[in-house]
Amino acid sequence: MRALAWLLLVLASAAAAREPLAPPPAPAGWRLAGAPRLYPGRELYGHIDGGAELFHEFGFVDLLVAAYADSADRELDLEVYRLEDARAAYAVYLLKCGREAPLPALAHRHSAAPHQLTLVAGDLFIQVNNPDGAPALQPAMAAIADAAAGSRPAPGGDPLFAALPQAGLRPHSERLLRGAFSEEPYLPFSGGDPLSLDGRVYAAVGDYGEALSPERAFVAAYPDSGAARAALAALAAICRRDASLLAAAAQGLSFRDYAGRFGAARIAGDTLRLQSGLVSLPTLR
Amino acid sequence: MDGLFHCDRRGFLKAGGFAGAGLLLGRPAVWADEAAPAEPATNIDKALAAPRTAHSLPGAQPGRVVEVHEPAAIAAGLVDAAAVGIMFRRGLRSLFGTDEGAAFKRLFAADDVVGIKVNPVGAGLISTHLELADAVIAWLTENGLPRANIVIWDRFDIMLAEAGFTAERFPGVGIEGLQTMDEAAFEDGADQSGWLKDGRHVSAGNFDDEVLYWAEAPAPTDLNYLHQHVVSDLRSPFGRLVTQRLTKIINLAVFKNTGNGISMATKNLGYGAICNTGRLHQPLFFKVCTEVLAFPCLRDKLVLNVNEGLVGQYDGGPMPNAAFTWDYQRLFLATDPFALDRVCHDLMVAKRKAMGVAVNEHPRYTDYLRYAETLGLGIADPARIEHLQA
Repeated sequence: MRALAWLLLVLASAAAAREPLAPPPAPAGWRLAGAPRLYPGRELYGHIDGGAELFHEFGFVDLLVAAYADSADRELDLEVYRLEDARAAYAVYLLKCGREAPLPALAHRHSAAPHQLTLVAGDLFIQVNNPDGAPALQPAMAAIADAAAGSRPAPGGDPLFAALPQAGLRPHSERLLRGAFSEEPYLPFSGGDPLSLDGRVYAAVGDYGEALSPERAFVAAYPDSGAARAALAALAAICRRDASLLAAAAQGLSFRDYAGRFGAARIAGDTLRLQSGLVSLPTLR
Repeated sequence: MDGLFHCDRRGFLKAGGFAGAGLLLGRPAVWADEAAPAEPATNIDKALAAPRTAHSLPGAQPGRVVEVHEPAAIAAGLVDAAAVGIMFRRGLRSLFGTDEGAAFKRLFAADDVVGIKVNPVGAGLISTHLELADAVIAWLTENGLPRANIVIWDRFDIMLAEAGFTAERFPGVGIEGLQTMDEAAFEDGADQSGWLKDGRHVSAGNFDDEVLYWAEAPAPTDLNYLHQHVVSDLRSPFGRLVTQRLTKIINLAVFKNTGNGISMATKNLGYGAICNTGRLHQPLFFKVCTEVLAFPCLRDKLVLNVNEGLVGQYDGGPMPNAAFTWDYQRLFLATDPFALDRVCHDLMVAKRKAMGVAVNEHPRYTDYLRYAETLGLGIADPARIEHLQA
């Protein structure tokens, strides 16, 4: 059912013609301050030089930046990132939202903090920044984000999340990865693209247990079984380079990482499953 | 976690403890050994060939890092300037084991020209606080250094202004960006008259063609890149301010992450004292933070570093992200920027874990610090670092 919802969401996003992004009207008591700025494609580096790569990994299209001011010249800054589709926007949102703290009055999927409201709707990842952090501005932040989101649909989860082991899964820990920049904090290697996602293939990751250094499970769905086999082969090579490759066979491998924890990967058809951060190798049946 | 792996032993090997380590069952032809990608060559040898001086890194107190915590320094984003001044002096006394005046004399001469390198990225949120710059300037001037001999600097002029580092706010003190940024040109892309003259960036003359970090990492050749980076070949020249005018440098970095690593003392200078840095992020990233500091124009002038943690940012960096900031109420002082970043890296890892942020603790993310130790620039081994509370 979730997969169907995603399919419909993706199709709807793809079908929608890409109109130029425009700032929503200012809420009552506010006005647009200055001309909005648009950063298409690689020009994103001009706005977030140190953070653009992650967006590009998920198919960044363009960014609209607009400032709003009230009669006291307090300012709110709107950033509307358009990604290639709704799944990509949802993935970015999950990686960026931190611990979600929603407001009761805002229907779109979002997280609110005094300095920033983060929201996802359709193919848009939206942030409203409140430089002063004044709590009184939160209603205006919500209004601007809500207007920017419009009638775009909320994300309905992701089919890959259902493929993660459910026992012990830490609530709200699921994330979507699609390449080196999103993989970096999650996999116990020295960077690169250990799962061969290459900005095209999605993987889900979830945390397990309550430890500060949790066990993790990953599920990646490749276009076909050949791609999955190639990904396992590349992972084995990275394990040789960055870890101790304990064992390997045509369908799987096991390794011991830099911290002495264990991991194992296995492919079945077009799917690769990996566990990391284990205190012992998984029991096989 | 329930097991993902339900298979027989022919399909998957269970390694029985470490006895099986390295055992390979079957070796499909598609598997090839993969060496780590070769890093681009650099001119680090040129830096290392220069004779050291009495002030060369790691400076007067190798491996010593002083942490100053003062809850009154900041609350709900409001900084108590007096408390910050007290913190800074407390840190100086602990770092040098003497009073502030004697510490000044250890580091400076009366005719020094002192550059205060700030981090203005994330103005008003995670940029160097003006109150800390005030505290540093007060210490320098009280000990006889003329305000005219002090320059607050960063790579970008526009960012300095946005963060409040203006001539009006700091009268008598120099405020200099190594390069100009023409935002209007960047936004519409049509009018380059403000920054492009005869095919050269108008700030090209601010960089020293004789003192440069060279790395075999090609740069993009589009105008946007040139606008932001001044040069787009294999050279990353140092600012002339650094190579020719400043005789001492104080480094006021901030306490923030950059992806899975940190962007603190060594990155504030490694990526702030040269241009044409965009090309370096991917192939050399943290290594730049070591090698650029190995050049005499930094190595022999950098006498004090402060990682300012009045506010910290534990995720979303290096760009400002208010959702991940917190009032940390701390300053970290050291003459040794590598020991300083080693301590702060570990503190950042602990904070990220505590906040439920994924952290990859692979040694790769601190390799650049150990590399600095091999080059004699600092101490990176936690066992050899003296982490003091003041």
